Amino acid sequence: MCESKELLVSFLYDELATGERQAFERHLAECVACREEVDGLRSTQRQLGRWSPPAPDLGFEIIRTPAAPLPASRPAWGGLWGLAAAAVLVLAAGAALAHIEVRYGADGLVLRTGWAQTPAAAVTTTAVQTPAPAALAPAAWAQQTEALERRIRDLEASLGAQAKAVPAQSDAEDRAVLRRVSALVAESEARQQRVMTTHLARLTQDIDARRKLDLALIDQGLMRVQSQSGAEIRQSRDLAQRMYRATAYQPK
Amino acid sequence: MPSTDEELVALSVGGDLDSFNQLVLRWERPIYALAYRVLGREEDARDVAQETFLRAFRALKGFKGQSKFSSWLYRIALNLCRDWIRRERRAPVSQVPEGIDIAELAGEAVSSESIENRLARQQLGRVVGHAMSALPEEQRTAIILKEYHGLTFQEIAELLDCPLSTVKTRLYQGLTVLRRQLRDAGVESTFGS
Repeated sequence: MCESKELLVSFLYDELATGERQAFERHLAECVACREEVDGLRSTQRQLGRWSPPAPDLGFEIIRTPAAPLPASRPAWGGLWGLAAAAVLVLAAGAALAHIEVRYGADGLVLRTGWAQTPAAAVTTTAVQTPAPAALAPAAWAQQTEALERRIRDLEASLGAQAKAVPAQSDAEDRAVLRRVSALVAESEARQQRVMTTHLARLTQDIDARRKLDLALIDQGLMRVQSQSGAEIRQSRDLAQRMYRATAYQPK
Repeated sequence: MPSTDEELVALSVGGDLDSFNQLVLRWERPIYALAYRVLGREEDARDVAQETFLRAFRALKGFKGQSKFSSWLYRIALNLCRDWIRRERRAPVSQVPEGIDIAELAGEAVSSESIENRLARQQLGRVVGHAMSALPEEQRTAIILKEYHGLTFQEIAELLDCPLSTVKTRLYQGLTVLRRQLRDAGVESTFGS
């Protein structure tokens, strides 16, 4: 084949300009190799026409489905504030039951449990800060009492609703807190281990240095003792020789 | 008078679901055929075709008509086919039934075609499908788009993001390999033109 593949393919798929096509046809009339190539590829094209896909029943259709109702959203304050209120309630109830006293004074933070103090004392402390009921007129007193009762009922209803939501949330929170605490403990243990290892290494170094110093001191001391001993021995020997000489020379 | 693709697209963008479903009806078979020839499996081809129309519907507002609607659909379908091949990490298959039901053939045969001819035609189709599945993906896709969907070289080049000359080379190489394979399989001499 002497013509370019691109030209041949363009001729095969009839995507040549008229002039180019005529020129190629003239070439084909003269060139046997190119003619055979074109005939062979046209035959392949015909075979390709025999391959047909199955004809399934498709029937695709886009259908608009009604939007699913959105889940009722909780009030914005219901999440965090509700949870905080519930937590305070639980803590307060727990503190009341266990009679926990938390105080921060000059002697630091004091946490006391038990029934050492009488409940009456606490009530008295609270009552001090509320206005004395006796100072109000009877009508105002009735109004305030009613308003107070209504307020208590509202609070009870609100707290009751929140208390129902607490267990599931608190379980998940407990688990999350437990996971966090476990992670913190593990981290702390690892940190302590690292610190211990460092301290141990430093201690070993210190001991080693101290041992070397002590050995050096002992060595020096021994040398000093040895030198002293040598001098003393020499002195003693000299003395002995002198005494010997003195005793050996006896005038007759 | 039937509406053009462009008119139906414009109506669909305006929220007319029936217009889009007319487009689906018009193009579901070509898209299915494209997916089938690329992937070689009926079920996968059906899934790809369905997903193609879903994606087209969701992205319709982004279609600005810079290309033909059909080219846009082909592009979506080809991308899905590529994803499928990548995900499955396997070459396309030539899915053909092992046995041929003669009774079914007899029932389907048109009066002018004998059962023998129909059988021979099916066998030939199987051999061609098998030879196509053995081609490299680029050559196979180029041949499918040219031979079965009649796209121009330019349209194929845009769809496959490659130069015009590359499209022609892929076509030439693919056809040459097919010619050799079919000749080796005895197709040209037995069922030749």
